[in-house]
Amino acid sequence: MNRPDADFIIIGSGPAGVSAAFPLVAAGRRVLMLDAGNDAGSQEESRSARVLGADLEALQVDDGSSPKLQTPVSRGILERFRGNSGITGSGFTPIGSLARGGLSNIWGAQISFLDAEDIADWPIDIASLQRSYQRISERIGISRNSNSTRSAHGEPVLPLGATAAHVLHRNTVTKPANGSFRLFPAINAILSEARPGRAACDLSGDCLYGCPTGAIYNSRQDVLQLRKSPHFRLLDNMRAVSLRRDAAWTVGTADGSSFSAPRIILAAGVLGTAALLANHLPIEEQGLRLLNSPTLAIPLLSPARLLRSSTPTHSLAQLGLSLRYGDRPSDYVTGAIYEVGSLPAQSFINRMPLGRRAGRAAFETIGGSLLVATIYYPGDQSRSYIHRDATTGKSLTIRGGFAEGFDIRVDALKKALRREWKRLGLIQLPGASLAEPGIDAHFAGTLPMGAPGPFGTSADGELNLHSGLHIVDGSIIPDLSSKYITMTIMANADRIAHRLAETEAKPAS
Amino acid sequence: MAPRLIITGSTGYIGARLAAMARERGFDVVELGRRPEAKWRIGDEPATSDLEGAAAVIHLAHSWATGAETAEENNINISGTVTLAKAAKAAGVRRFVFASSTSSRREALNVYGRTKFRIEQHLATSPAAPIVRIARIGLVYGGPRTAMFGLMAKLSVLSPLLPMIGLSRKVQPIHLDEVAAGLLALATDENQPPQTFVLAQERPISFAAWLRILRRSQGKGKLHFIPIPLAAALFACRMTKLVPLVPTVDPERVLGLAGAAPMESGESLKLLKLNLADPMTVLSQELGQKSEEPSRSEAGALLRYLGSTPTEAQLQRLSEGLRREGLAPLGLSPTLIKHPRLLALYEPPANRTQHRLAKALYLADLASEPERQRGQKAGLFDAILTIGTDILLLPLRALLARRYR
Repeated sequence: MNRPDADFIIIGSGPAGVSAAFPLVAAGRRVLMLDAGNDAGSQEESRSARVLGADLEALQVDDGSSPKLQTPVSRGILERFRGNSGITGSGFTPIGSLARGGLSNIWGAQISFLDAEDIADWPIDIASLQRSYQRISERIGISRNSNSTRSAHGEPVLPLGATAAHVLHRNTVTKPANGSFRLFPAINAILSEARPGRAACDLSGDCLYGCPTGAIYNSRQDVLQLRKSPHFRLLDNMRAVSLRRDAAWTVGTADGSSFSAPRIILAAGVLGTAALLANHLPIEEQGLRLLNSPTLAIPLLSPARLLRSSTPTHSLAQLGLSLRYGDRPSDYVTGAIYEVGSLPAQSFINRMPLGRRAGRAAFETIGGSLLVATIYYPGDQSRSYIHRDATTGKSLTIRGGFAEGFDIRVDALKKALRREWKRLGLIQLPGASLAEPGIDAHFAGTLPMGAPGPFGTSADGELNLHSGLHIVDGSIIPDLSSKYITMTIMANADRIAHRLAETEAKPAS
Repeated sequence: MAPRLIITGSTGYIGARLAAMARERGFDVVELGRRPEAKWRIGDEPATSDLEGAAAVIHLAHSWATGAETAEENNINISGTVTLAKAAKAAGVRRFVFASSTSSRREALNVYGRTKFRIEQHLATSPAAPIVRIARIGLVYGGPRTAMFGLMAKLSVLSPLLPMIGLSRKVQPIHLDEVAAGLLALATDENQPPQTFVLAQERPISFAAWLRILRRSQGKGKLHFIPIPLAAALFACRMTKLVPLVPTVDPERVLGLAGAAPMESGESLKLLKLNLADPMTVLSQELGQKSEEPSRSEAGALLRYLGSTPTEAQLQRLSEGLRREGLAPLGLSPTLIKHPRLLALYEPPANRTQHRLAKALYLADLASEPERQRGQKAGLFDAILTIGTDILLLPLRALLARRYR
């Protein structure tokens, strides 16, 4: 047999892939990363090209998706996955990326940390996850939004939008209607201080169009770092399409190449990983369960802020919130509050019953006093399954839906929220909408850690019955909390890679 | 009574425009030639009654039926023209204007040029000489896209890379309207000296430059050439006759291009008081009219309606966007283009995303996005007025919006 191509092959260059690569490379293991994308997609294009696309892609009529997904950057990042993954949706929008950096190219950059209660059912202890949180935070750089230039803890901060600041102030001076409502400045993976190769946020508000300064974390930046190591090798345009087990694991790619290693680390993203494993899993009639967070968007008006000027800031989440609105463990939502004035006007005007000229006038007049809250439910409020096409046995379809009784809980939540909006001096505007399942790409739980049987994985992400095949992306997160999950996926990948570096595949001599 | 003008070849590219212009200017135009009721064909002895009382004959007809090297006495163009001129003189017509060509030379490469030259010579020695005016016409462009002009306009946009002969040859374009005006002046102005006139741009340009002008004026980009030898071009021309769906190119025309030589036109233009327009400007208007121009002016109107002062980049982007979405031309009336504020009467709500005008306005909004200043605010009063008007006009607009659906 030929010598293996590496000690570990990592499939995918997204946040999970790079987070797994760093500890292994640091421990001297030979790592080969297969990236379906390539280096294309410079960050230094003109604003015109970023906003409208190099080929004017933006001048295609609105497809009704969220502002984030309408930008040419997003179209470019998502398009190839749509075309090549062979995954379709029914009542579900499958989101994935084959570009370098994966979905971190278009993420919300919001950071949440899970606590001991959140991971009570996981086969790991909170301390190990917290150590990983710490390492990831240091690597990617995070900031809190604040009124002051530096927080009490000496953490770097970014200016808070004026309307968000006003609401936050109201929250501290009025007594909460519900004891479990929390509102706080958002933590984002945005740099407030420059680092090598990345400038600090310049507050130009172009976040949705692909941050030109690199202030928003993107795993492409990590790939650049990794490439400096002699133990790390990256191959471009290598879309993994098959996995085969002989003496070692062999990965086949779309162009016919194959690479082998004793251990494979799957970091292709929940949907990408499911597609790669489809032949190895007994996906029967019922399908493979997929957790995703139902997402509710609520427009809010702050009358006190009408006609006031806004603070220049970034256009990602300004505030974070959480609310327990019922007795069941999953009656818990978290959310983010955005300032509408810093988002692209078109997607709001497109939904107005006014003419565009009047819509523009309205947006410019009151946009600064508008907020949008996006509320995330826990993944168990969704009911989505990945099915295999019975005839071809190849292509996958995801059928999406909500958990039973979800509509009742939506009403309970809306009621609880309305009380809080009132207290914060906010008027909830008509037009609240529940997104189609999948559209926000908060996926998890297809191959949960600690579960027995063919769909479970070990605490180290090793797929049951397939030794040497480790999964580090969201697939193995056993339950999808309502909190933003990316940071946890990265931390978990880091944790697993540290364990692998300690115990497995000693350095090649 | 209106002066009478006889035009032969009045169904041709130049003839049709000349006849129309002459009628516009109040002449009583008699068309001699290939009309269903025509009594005369080139070569025929015209009836004296047809010619009598005419102020002038303008002879444009040319028979292409004559073989390549037909002997002089058998070339119907030569004998026919002389016959017609003599008959005109005999009937008391005061001026006989013969449409010749700038390719008219004794040693011209193509039969057409040599024939024209021989006709000129025969006319000069014929009894009709005192009433003859010769107009050597350059490369005529503009108007309907037919004849040589139509062919060149088509060729120039066929592909950015064009195999072509005679690229360095100089041509002297002149607009169809200017030719018609010049011919009309020659036919009616008694003070013009009996000499040969040249109707063509004073400054010759290379044929390559000319094709580039044609391409640019149709909104297309650069044009590159593969120079090909004359023999290959002639062979290709013969092949075009065999291939269906490809414009047929007469080798005669290719030879005409290959043999063109500049002629001094300054004095003629001065005498005829012709001030020739710049071909690029005229063509951009004429050729662009159908595709680019309405889309651009509509783009401008949409942008101005949304309150931006359109920049070149925005106009280009939006025109392109409208075209790609199949919205160009939208068919906005000239009044709306001139006064975009009136669009408020026709604009549907922005959430009617299937409405053409709503779509177009969405694109306009997007096209201006990269240049938009953040945090820029409309005055409150203006905003209230705009929104208030929008709501008040809603029923009316619901009705009028159909027009651009």
